Amino acid sequence: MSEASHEADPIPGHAVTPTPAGEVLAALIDASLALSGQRMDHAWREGVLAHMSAIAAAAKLVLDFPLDDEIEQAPVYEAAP
Amino acid sequence: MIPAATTSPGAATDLATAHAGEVAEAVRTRRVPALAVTEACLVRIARHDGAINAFTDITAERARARAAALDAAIARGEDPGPLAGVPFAVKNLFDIAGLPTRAGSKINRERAPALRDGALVRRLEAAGAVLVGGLNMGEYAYDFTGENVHDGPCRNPRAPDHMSGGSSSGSGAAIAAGFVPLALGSDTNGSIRVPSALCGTFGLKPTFGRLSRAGSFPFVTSLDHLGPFARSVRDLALAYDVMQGGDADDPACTQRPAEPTLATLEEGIDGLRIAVAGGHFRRGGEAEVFAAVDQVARALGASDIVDVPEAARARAAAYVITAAEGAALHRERLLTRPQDFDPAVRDRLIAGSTIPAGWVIRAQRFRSWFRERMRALFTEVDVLLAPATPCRAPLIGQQTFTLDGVTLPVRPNIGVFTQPLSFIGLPIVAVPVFPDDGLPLGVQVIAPPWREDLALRVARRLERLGVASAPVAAL
Repeated sequence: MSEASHEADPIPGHAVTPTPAGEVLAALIDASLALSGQRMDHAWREGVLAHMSAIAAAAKLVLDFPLDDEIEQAPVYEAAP
Repeated sequence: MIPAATTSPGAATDLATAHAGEVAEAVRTRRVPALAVTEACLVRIARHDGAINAFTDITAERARARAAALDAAIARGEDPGPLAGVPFAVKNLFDIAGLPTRAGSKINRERAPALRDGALVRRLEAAGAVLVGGLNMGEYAYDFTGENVHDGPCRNPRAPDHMSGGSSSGSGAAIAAGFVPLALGSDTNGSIRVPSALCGTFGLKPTFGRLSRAGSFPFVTSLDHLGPFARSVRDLALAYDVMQGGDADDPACTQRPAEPTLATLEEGIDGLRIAVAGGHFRRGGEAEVFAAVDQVARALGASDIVDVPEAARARAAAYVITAAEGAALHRERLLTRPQDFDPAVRDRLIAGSTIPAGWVIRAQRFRSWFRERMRALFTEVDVLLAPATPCRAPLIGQQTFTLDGVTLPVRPNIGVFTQPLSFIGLPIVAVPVFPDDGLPLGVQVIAPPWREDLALRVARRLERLGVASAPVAAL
C-alpha cells in the first residue's frame, strides 16, 4: 500500500530515475539524521520510512520529466523590494 | 432576514446564523446593536461547540468590548464599515493580540503572546467586524483531516462522527455550524477547500500573493495562501474585498491594486468559457464526486472537458516542496523536542528533513513549466471545474479509503484534486453541493490568476440556481 498515490505517464526518450529501494532510503535517512543530529526513536522508523517512500515516488515523477535548461526555479529573487 | 432585536430564542438564533451582509446592514441601520449579534453568536458557540470543537480560544471580553465600541460609534454618526458588527473567527495560526499563536500545536503554546493581530484580522476589524475567537486546526497545518492530538478532533457539524477536513478544520466547522458568518483559514495544498467541501461551506483560496500573510504562522512559504469561509458567495466577496491590498510587512504580498469583486458578482456567466478539468481530475475518486462536478457543469451549460497537462506531476512536485520546506521550518523544534509533535506530523517532517536538495530545485523548476502550461490553457478557457475531494467526509479516525479499487491512506490523499492547483496559486472558490440528505461534496471553481471575480461570479450563479448552498447544520 503506497503512502500516497503518485502516478503519471512516462516520457519516451527521457532518462528514468531509478526507484530507490527501501534499504537505499533507509540508508539515506540514517545518514541524513546522523549529519543533522536529529533523533529518531526506533518506533518512529517505519513511519518515517513510509513517508520517505512517498516523497521519493513523488520526486521520481518530477525528476523523470524533461525540462529545458532555460526553465528557472519559480521563485525569483529581487535584490530590493 | 434579521428581525429587530428581541429577547426570543428564535430571534437570537437568527442573529447568530444570519449572513455577514445581513448583519452589517442591520447594524449599520441601527435595527440591531452589534452587541446583540455578538452575544447571540457567543451563546450559540457556548451551547453547541462542546460537540463540535471548532474553537480553541473564545475572545468573549474582547468581542463584547469591540461590539459596544462599534455601537457607540454608530450612535455618534460614524461610518462603522461594510462589515459592521459581523462576528468572525480565525484559524489559530493567525496572530491574535494577547494570545500565543498556537498553530494547532502543543509547542507553540509556549510562545510569547502576539503583540498585535495579524494583518487580515486587523483589516476585517477596521471594516467593522468583531473577532470572537481562534479556531482549531491540524498541527502546523500539515493535515487534511481536522484531527488534532493536542486539542482534540474538530467534528463535522453535518455528522459529528465524521471528519471536518483540514487543516482549517475549525474554520469550516464554525461556518457550517452557524457559530459565525465569517471565518479565515489558510490553504497550502487544500486546507481551505477540503474543509469547505467536507463541511459544506463556501471557501475562497485567492491567487497566491493576493492577501497578506503578515501576522500568521507559516507552513510552506512557497505555497501558503490565506482566505475566507462563509455561507454565501456574497459574504466571501465582501470579506475578500475588504482584505485586499499590499502590505509592506509581507514581501510575498502583491503590490497590484485591490480588485474588488462585489460590484460584478451578479453579472452572471454569459460569455464565459467554462469547462470541466479532465484527466487526473476525472479519476481516483468516488463516482459521486465526479457526478457533483457534472451537475455543476450542466447547470452552467458547460459540456467541454479539458485535460490539465501533467496534473499528477504537479501534485507530486507540490508534495516534495511541502515536505522539504515544512521540515526546514521546524528544524530546531524537531531537533530539540520531537516528542511534542503530533506523531503523524513528526514522522513526515523527519522524512522531509532528509530530502536531497536537487529534488526540491527540480520541483520548483517544474512549477515554472506548469505555470506556463496553465497560462496557455486559460487562453482557451475562462473557468475550470474540478472536484474538491475524492470522497465525502471520512469517519474520524479512519485511516484508509479505497478509490478506484486502490486502498490508500486517507491523510495524504484527500488533497489529490486540490494540490495540483494551489501549486501554481490559481484562485479557487470551493462551492458546496448536497447530492442527497447525506454529507456534502465540494466542487472547485478555478479561475486564472487574479480573476477571483470570475470564480465568484460562477459560484454566485450556482448559488442563485440552488445548485450550491451552505445551510446551517442542524445541531
